[in-house]
Amino acid sequence: MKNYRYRFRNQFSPVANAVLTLIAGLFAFVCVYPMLLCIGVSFTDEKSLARYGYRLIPKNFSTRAYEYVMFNSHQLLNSYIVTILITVIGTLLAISIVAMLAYPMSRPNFKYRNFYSFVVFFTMMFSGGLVPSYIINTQYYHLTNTIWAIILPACCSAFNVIILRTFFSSNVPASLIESAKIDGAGEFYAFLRIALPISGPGIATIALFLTIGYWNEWFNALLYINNNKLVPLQLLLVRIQNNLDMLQQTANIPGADKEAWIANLPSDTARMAMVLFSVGPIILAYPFFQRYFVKGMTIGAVKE
Amino acid sequence: MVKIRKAVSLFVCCALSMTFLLAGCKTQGSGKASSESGKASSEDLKPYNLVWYMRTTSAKGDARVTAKISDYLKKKINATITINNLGSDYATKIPVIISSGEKFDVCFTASWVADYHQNAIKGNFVNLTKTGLLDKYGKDLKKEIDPALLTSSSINGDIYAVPVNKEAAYAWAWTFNKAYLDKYNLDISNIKTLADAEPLFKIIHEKEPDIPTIVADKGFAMYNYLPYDPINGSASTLPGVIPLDGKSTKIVDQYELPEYQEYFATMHKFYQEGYIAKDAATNTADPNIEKSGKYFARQISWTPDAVGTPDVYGVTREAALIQKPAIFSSAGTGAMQAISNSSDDKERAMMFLNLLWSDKTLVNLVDYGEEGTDYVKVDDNTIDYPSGVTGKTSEYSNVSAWCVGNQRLSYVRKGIPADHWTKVADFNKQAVKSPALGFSFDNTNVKTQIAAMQNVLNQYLPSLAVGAVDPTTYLPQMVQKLKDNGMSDLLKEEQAQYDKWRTSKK
Repeated sequence: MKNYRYRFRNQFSPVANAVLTLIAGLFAFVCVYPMLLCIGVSFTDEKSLARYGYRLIPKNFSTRAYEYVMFNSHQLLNSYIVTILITVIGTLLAISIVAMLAYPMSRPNFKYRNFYSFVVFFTMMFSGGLVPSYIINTQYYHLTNTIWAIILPACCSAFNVIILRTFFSSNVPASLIESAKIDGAGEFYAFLRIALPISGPGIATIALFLTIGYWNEWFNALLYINNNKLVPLQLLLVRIQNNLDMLQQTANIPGADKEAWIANLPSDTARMAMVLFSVGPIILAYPFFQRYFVKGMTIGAVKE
Repeated sequence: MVKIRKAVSLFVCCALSMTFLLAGCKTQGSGKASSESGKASSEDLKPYNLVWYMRTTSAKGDARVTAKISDYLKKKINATITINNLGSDYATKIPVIISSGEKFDVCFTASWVADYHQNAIKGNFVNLTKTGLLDKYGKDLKKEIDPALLTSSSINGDIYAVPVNKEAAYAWAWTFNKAYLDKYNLDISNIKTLADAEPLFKIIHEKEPDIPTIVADKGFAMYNYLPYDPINGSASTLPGVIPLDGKSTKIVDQYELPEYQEYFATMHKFYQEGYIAKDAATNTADPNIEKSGKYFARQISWTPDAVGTPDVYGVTREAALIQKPAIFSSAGTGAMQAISNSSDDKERAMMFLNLLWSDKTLVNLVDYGEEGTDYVKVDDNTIDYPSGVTGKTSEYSNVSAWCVGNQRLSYVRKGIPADHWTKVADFNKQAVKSPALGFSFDNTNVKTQIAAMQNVLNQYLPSLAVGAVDPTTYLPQMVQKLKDNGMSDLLKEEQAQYDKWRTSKK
């Protein structure tokens, strides 16, 4: 009999295991490498960058980029505050709206349950597009140049609603709600004091998705914000890149290369430092919340 | 108790649903007056607020200068102005703004941003000729603009946007870093063609192996020096050119012409000799190279005084023209100002444009800000920053003068010679006028072919243009792929439209 002593029935053979680990490892390395390079470049001296190119371990260590970014760039501090504001307010607002929409949809004796499910699902499939949303947001809701233009559009995502609805219906037993009603609880009481506390993991997962989404938000800011004081972090980076692209585009127009704003473009190392600043908080927080993400992937999947 | 709570819940639900109704109430027109009556205007014009979208980046002094501009405009045409500086977001935002029908008056447009041609055809920009606006309110404007510019920005004979009055002609040239020219005592007066510069490259490459001899990136386009006018616009690499000397009226594919093949072969030789960075074909323009000043040669579409004085980084370059100056068919579409069809007062917008092209005070207010605070006059026409202020610290130095109005009227910054505009006028006069001046190609019928060909070009052209690959193998490949993707359709369409335009001109 072959030596199956230490293997469970569905375990991979050692060879397959090694190959798969290798492939997954290579993929992970390819994902991580640019980030490491970014860190390396941000700590490099500007001049050696031109001579030696991008290197993982900087030839000449220097923290000048970070000094520039932290002390000279008041724009970065402003953007940080804006992004934190958006994330905090956005997440709180969105999670309450999504939860309040998902809960009634999860109750089996809600008369219009099917109608709402259909409407929510429909918006997930079909959307009006960019220009109609722009018209609605600027001409009817007058959200231009306000922070709400970034918060509100992402507030009630159909995807989140459906996940949370499934979670509610599988984790909050109908019998529990019924017994609460017998004891005299009203709808709000049942929601706030009974359903929500049980649904901690679900709420936490959706809140995490929302936080990451709001932290990385730049497109709505690009469209609706003209005021420099309301620019979130990611848009700042996008703008720097766009400025460089614009330089390329207008290179052949007479007089275009003499413009003053070109001299103000941050150097490569400063840009890398900015990238790290904007990605930093999320990366540092990720290890603590990793298990919620993993759990959250399947949280809406199984329905009892 | 339960009943009260039910009533409250019902009330809250109703209140929330009311927000939908409220959102549907659109406030009335955005053309409201925003100021008390100013001094008496020339005619009895009602106060009006113009909205202007510009592609300049915003600066600290924006609000202050805009207030000054508004004051000035109030006196002239009883209008105030709101200037929206969209900066680098312009290219993304302006198509959305235009297609959403948002009310604004004037915006910057060109062939390479806020697609001038498409928006004109779709009716988003006002037809200034047919509506008579140009003739009625633009009399001063028409006097100022070089007629070649006006012709080149017309579509089927009508003007949809006013071209900025700047250089009309240009010539492609090599520019050389003066520091190295002086160091090695190099003479550039004999360089008349692309290959003439080779001995200089050889010397520099030997003596200074660490610096890029020729600065090249994926936008390197020296092949434009050949005497042909691209029918599709100045930045276009699509097949379809016509000889500048006007001897032939046939539109040909430039990539099969012997001169282009020679160009690619020469560049390949330069690349192999090491004059060009090995990864040039995939790099974007890197301001760091220019910042460092450590390079020898660069391309430029030269106009008088484009080089010869220190640039923004303090580097001086000298130019050697390798092309006879010409006014290309795309000359006017480099920078224009258009009036939007969604404007509430198109006449006022036209009056404003007329002022931008004829009123020296206004042009300089917009370009440079307030005298004394943002600039000081060195002599009659030259300005400089006030003492203690530099380009970096200035509160209002971000406006690109080449995007606004009439450059002839704007002051020149210190360092540019005072007779600059006379030189430009002469340069324009002696330049060859392209036989396609005034022709604008409409690509609606061949959009799919163009998209496919653009992909092929993006794949092959950057490497060929910097000489990174062997043209004897790859150029025929590229031409074959272009042919497979509808090049003959494009050429036929171009020829048909061009012939139609030519016969209708007579």
